[in-house]
Amino acid sequence: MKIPVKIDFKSNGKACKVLLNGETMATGKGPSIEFETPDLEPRRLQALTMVGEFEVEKLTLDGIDTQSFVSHGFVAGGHRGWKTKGGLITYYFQAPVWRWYIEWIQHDNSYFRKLSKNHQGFLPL
Amino acid sequence: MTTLISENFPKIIKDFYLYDESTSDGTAHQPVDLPFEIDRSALLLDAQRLPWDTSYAIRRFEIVKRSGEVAGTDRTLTNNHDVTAQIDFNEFKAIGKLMEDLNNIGPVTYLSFKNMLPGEYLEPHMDSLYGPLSVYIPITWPSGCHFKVYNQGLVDFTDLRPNIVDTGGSVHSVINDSDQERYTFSFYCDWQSPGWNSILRKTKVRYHK
Repeated sequence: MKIPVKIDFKSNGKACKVLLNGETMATGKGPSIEFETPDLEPRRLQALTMVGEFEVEKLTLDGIDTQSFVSHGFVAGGHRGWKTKGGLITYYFQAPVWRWYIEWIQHDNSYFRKLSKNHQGFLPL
Repeated sequence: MTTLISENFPKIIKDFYLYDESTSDGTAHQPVDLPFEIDRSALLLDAQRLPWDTSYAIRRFEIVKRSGEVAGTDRTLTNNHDVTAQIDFNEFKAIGKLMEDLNNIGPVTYLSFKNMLPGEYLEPHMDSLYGPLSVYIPITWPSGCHFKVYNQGLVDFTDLRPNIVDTGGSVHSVINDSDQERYTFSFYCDWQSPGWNSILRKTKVRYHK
């Protein structure tokens, strides 16, 4: 299945490049980039990578606002987050997006995650 | 079970209701019978007069409040806070009777009324407060109202029966796709108390996942 992707972001004015599984999909300076993916195999992990200096504000996959998932990107230096300076950030997801996103919500709200969030603040794991 | 809903809901909700074809095996939600009559006509009149709190996604009114700020997991684990009723039960007699009937089964630790307007919704989420299992009781449930649990189908509110729902361990979404207001109340209770435990043990609902 092909899905539309929309990334809203702030940049430093330089172009940002977006790759899906290593293939360039689009470039742009923001405030948003939109493109349609090639056919995605269901349940296969997809790697959405942005290269440049930017801050992702909203990630919409298949028309679904992924909300707080935007904070769960993998950034340079082994960290997690939604912004980077001169590096890259990668989000992993699956198609169909609705099922993957609900399961992500389920894991992000597991009993153990809740304990961590309640006692130690937000842990982007 | 797949459900086609109106176009104006967010896509995550439309996809969830359309493509999640699951049905319930009873482990995440199941109807239960309570050992007292619920006077829904009287409760509806009381509910319509409540001073609704509009700061949530849907109108809500918490019948009792704890003293002090208790947040997160401590809210579930801490029991030594005073609880104060937020309404005069002499003025809201049906709600007062409901509280008495419920507490006669065993301790109720939280109870709130909800008023969902036509077109309103709660996106798929998990509840993080008070405990894993809650009891949902519709006062009204217009055709077009749905409560769906991921991989566990629709909650069965036929004949307005109460349901125990694993809202703390299962992703769920609620919508009002009707043209009428929906009134419900829900509560958490001490499932280890003999009264509530005997009700839970008659179901397949899992306390922990």
